[in-house]
Amino acid sequence: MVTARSPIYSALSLVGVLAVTAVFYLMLSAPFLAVLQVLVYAGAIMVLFIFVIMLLSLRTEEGGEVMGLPTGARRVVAVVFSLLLLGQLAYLGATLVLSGRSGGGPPGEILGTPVALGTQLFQRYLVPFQMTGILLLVAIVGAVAITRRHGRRGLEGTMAGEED
Amino acid sequence: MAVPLELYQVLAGVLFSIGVLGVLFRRNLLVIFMSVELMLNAANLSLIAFSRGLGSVDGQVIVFFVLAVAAAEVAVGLAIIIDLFRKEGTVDVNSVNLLRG
Repeated sequence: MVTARSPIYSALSLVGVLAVTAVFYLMLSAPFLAVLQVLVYAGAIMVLFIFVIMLLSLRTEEGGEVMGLPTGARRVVAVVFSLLLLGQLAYLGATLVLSGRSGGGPPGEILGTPVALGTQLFQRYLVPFQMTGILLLVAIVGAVAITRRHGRRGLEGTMAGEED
Repeated sequence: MAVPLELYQVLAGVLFSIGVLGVLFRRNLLVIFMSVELMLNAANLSLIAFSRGLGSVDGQVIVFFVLAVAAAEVAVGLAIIIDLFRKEGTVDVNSVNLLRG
């Protein structure tokens, strides 16, 4: 995903990753969140992304120059990151093999049914849930306010509903 | 259900690392933004795996909130990107240095 030149390829790869993650959610007994993932992420958010990519009609990055780093420094950073990642993987794999444990949690019943999740949401997490609603409202209003073609007019002009 | 819980954490770590690489090495603001989404997704996967391991639904509730925050973030972020593109005509992070002192 991060190596694709064209942003649209990155977006499509991200859709694939999100779909696979939704399947993992299903395997981890979270069916409600799996559906939510497909609907919200792969549906709404990625459509927004692709819409913006099309709107801006982005070309591929010119020249493939990455972040203005010189080639040597870039290689060093890449090698460091790869070694870090490999070290993590080796460590985790070693501990996994040594411990020999498998599976987690009680098997059987499904945890994240909509009923269970909704019960938690509306009882223990009621206040955060309401704050989420406020957050979404503020975000939508802010997005509209930002993308609005603002000229010299201030808040009064936009609040009076003038089209410009 | 034979997949060990650790493997999910490994996958989440790999996804997060890929997201970090994307943020660090790409210049296109949109791709950087998508990498941030990838990192959020890795965190979600980790939370759900732990929630499964603990047999509790609390982690999944947190994932729900993360989803909501991510949606809000995408709306505002894309609005900013569009506005930036209108003003500057580019989404290259190297050419956006308006706040440079």
